[in-house]
Amino acid sequence: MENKRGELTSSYIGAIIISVVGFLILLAALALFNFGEYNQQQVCQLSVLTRATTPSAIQNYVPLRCTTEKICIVEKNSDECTEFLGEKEVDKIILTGDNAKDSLIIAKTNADSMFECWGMMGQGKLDLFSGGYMQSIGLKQGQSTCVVCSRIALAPSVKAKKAVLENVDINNYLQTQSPNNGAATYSQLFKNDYGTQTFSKLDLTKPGSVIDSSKLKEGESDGKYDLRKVDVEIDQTNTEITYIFMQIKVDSVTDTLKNLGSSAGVALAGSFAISPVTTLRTAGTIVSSAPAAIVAVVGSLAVVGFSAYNADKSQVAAAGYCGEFKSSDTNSKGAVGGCSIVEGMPYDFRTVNKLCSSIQGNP
Amino acid sequence: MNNKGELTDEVPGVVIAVIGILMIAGLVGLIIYNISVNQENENAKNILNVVYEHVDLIIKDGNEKKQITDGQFAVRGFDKAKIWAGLVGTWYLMGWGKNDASRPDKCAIDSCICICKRKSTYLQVTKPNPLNVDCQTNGYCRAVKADKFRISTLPEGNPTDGSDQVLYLDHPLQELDVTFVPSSKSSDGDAYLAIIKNGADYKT
Repeated sequence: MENKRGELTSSYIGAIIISVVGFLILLAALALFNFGEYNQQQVCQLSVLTRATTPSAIQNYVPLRCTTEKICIVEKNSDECTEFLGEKEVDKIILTGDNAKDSLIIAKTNADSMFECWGMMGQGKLDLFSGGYMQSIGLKQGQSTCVVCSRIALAPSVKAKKAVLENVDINNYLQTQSPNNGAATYSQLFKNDYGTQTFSKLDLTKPGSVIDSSKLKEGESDGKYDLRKVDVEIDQTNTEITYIFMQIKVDSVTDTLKNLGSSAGVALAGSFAISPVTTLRTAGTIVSSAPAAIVAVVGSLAVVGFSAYNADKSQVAAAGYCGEFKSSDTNSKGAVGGCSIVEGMPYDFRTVNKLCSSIQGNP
Repeated sequence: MNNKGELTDEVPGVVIAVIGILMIAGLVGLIIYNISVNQENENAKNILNVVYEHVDLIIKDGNEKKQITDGQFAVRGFDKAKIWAGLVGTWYLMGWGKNDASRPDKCAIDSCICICKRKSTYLQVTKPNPLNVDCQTNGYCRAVKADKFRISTLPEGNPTDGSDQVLYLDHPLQELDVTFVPSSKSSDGDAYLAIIKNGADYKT
């Protein structure tokens, strides 16, 4: 018996040493791992995948390492966009001086930004902002969360070129051109396997021009809660355009109450496992005492009511953001379940804050 | 008796497993915390740089018409939900004139604008430090050449207790507006301002 004990002790010491050495190797590997070798887009994609594969209860703690791409469209390299004063890593797109070509370059820059944003954020297929544990049990309302993928500004000399801006047709470009000279157009790629596409007439030269939603075309989604909108609004007085990914995901009232019930069950089971006597004694006290029973019932009903109220409010909010999109799948939760959207809009606090309750990623 | 012995023998294994899991969880937590804190500080510095460059442009130019076009710009604030959850600090903009004795030491002899952080939550909830201590210990400052200009914001930041002239950065996107403020107009005012005070002669 003593021998056996001695053997066990030595084997455990060995295991401990191996564990500690393994841990140190892991630490060293992490320290030596060079994130700098990856470009911003790859780092973002990596963080998006990490978050999407993390359990939703702790998803919020995984940082999204997506940095807003800043693009300044200029006539010559020495031009600057005042919108990016003080900003780091501003990419410049230099126009050629040929009006027709320049219009296409501006359209391509916008189309590429939209397309990259859509791809980088998982094409609407990934749950990135599920709201965490508190939302799943209805103690917190669901809200829209955004990532600002890119900002595109025009240098003052480009803003003055009305002949160029008049001929920029981003929607036509999306429907007729292909990214990376492939066979499928941007719009086909957007539409093919996932999501809804909407386009609108865009007029860069009209101050304050916005889309008319009644003219939007609508495609079909694959029936999951995720839908995607590709949509551009431009305000000439503020010629900085931003491409934003927005996602809102909410559970139904029934699902939320089920989650709440499960959590209460787990808490009770945990309490019983840790201290069965105290748990039973407390339960006995509550059952045997009328005032305590009333307090427990009223308290439980209040929590259930609050949870149901939050879930309902969340669905209303989701419908507000996603309501204009319909799913072809009858099993889908539709707009009340949430959606994912990529949208182009003026980089203006009123417009952006209307869409985004919070923004994640780096500016 | 044998069973009891076997169970007892399992205990060290379980303890090692628990310790191992805790170590790995701690390591992952530490990495995420470091990334988050570094990024939070980087974002704060970026905001200060953007504000500084716009202020500098306005000062250099001094052209009232240009102020209207170039003085307005948008910055990304910090997530309010994360502030309340304590995952990020409460960041705000603050300014001191060169004659203001209360300015942080890091401003040296200059007027300065600072972006500073309360570690926990909003000022009206907890006031562990005076603002200049916040800015000295948990903030970044840049010297500016002018003494009188105003930075206002839309939408307004979270309400203060009324005594602090700070501009909170707690909206997804906030518009900042940098303008010169002649002394005669010093009484006009938005409720929440970050101001470069010219000593005691200008205070809204």
